[in-house]
Amino acid sequence: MSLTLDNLASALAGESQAHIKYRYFAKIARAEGFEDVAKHFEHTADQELLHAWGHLELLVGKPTTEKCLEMAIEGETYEFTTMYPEFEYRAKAEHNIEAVKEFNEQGRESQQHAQEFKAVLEKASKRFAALSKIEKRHAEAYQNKLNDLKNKEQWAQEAGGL
Amino acid sequence: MEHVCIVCGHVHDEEIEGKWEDLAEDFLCPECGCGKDEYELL
Repeated sequence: MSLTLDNLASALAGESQAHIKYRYFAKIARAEGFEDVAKHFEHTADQELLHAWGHLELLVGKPTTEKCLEMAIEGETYEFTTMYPEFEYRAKAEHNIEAVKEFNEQGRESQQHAQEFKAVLEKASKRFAALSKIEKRHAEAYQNKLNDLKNKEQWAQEAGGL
Repeated sequence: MEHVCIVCGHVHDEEIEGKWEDLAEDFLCPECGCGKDEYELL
């Protein structure tokens, strides 16, 4: 990976984190009665989201829906097979019971997300296959009409030549 | 249990369109043109 791609990935992580943080801060400010502060946090969070999308676009381009689902499955699978189990192990070593519980729960949720994305991908694949069959039928129907037209023209020419 | 088209979500109505078992093999979804194979039993 080039340095710039690395930096884009870091910038994406930073902007994403800022977005999430500001949404959280807005919730706190609203609960404490500071509606204007909450709005300001939300306004900034929206801008961070657009920045993050900009970085993401440079990193992954504009993938197809199918590719997006594949990337989502890959990400969630990494979370529940590698990231959360490692974090849970470390948290256990440090006797951080709350973190152990959190990582364990999130890991299971990532696994569920991965399964859900897989089911969506499967359904989408079936749909794409069905659509290509419909398009094939349309193409055949047009071809038949075209053949009819050509035959009629030929008859007309032959009849005119008699 | 209903037969639902996987592309457009059209639900086959047996009262109007006839029993599923009696449909011809070349039946197409009236909404999107999908074949019988593209219906799922939900």
